[in-house]
Amino acid sequence: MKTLDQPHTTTAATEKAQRARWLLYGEIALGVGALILMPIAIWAALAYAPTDAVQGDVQRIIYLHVPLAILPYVAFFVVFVASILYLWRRDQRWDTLAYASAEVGVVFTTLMLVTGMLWGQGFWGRPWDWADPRLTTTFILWLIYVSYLLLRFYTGRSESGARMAAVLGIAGFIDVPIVHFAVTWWRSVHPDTNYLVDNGSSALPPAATFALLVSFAAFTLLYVLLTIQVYRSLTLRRAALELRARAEDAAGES
Amino acid sequence: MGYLIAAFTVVWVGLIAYLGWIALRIRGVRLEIETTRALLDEREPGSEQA
Amino acid sequence: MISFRLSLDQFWAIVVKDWRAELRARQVWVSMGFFALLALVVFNFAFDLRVENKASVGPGALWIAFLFASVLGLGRTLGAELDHGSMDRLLLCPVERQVIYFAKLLGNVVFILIVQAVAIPIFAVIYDVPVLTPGIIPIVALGTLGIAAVGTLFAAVSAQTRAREALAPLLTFPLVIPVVIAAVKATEALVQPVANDAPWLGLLLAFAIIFVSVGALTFQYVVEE
Repeated sequence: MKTLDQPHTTTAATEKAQRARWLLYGEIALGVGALILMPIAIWAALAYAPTDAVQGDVQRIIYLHVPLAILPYVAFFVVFVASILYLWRRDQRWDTLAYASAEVGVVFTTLMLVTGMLWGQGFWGRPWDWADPRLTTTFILWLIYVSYLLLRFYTGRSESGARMAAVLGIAGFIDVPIVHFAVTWWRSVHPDTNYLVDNGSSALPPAATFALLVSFAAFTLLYVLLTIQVYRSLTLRRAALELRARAEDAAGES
Repeated sequence: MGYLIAAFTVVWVGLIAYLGWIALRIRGVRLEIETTRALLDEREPGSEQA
Repeated sequence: MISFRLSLDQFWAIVVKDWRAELRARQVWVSMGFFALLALVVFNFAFDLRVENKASVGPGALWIAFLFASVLGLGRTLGAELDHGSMDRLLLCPVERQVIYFAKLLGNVVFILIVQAVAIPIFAVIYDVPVLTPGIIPIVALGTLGIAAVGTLFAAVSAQTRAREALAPLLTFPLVIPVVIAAVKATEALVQPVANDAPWLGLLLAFAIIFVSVGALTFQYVVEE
């Protein structure tokens, strides 16, 4: 028996070690990539991209605001898929991924709203405009996923909590197009002053496109990096709680 | 424009700070795991799984 | 065919059971109805409504009153059931979870509609807004269905958490904002028709269908175990 098992376990063990090493390389690559892209993105947004003729320098916030507006949808889509997979497979890891992506998604959404408000205040003198469907929709999205985090807070690490959060993760994302339609129509088919002015109807100048793409890439890398870190912290915390429970049991016995 | 600087500062400093905070959280939990492991080893030497 | 018939029987059985419990607890009716009325009155003072703006603010006030009163009343059978373990017993029976959800949903919807049936005429009088037309019925029915679909689902969720019923509105409100928007707009259009308006009633119908479907499909995961 033992001689039959041994070669098996060593290949499994080495496979596992190899996978762990590749994951580590991947993570380091992500970190390095983010570290390189960030200054380039900042430089491109602040210096390389042309100054907007209409809005002046404030318009440069767009290189923050647009990626920050799109990435939450990515994050919450990940929550949606992970929630479905958790309910289907009941693998703890999907639940952790959903939680991690939701948390990072809320952070990005908050930043999107903040940059939107700073832009509004800086250019229009008004930090908020309900007439802007994108701002309103994102705000509702923010509310939905903050409620998701609240639910997580009030359910702790229980299995029922994971299930219920998954239901909210699914319902929340399905609500996204619903919110979009309702809000867009709420502010009439032709919104008047939309201060997310897409630089005219013609194509962006190439320098601006470059700045936008680099910013988008930098933020995406950060999203992935952050989600991995939060995932890790959640997994470790669970392990710590389990260990503590065992230690308390051991203490109780003695 | 002040708002431009404010926006860039809030976003980038904020994200780095958030990353740092998570790293601290991880380090704290790792420490807790180490100490709990040591405690368990004291009480039940050898009965603990990896 | 037999299983559908069985489900239908179970459905009605649960609905009737909840109704009997409801009729006994008359104070819930009274408090919900009174709450809706109070909300309407407070809005009147809060917004200092005069003849000019009553038509524009009225529908909004009406639906806020409905929304709050609904969420108050939505947990009515679920909370008590989870407390007394009757939910567990119900789950032990071979009932499809969707059936339980639909039964709870119907119970909630009818309950809220009755309260609304009283509130709307009062609203029409004290706000002097001509909503007492047949056109109001589909708006109210679909709007309530949409809100109740989400509310029933998350009443079941929050009843199992540390925060109990307090969490339900926090989870429900953000999700049903589109329904409130559509319902208010549809009510406004009823009073003051607008040209080139969005198909609010159609949207309400779509929202109701989607929310009920999501609720029915996910309810089983909420009440597992």
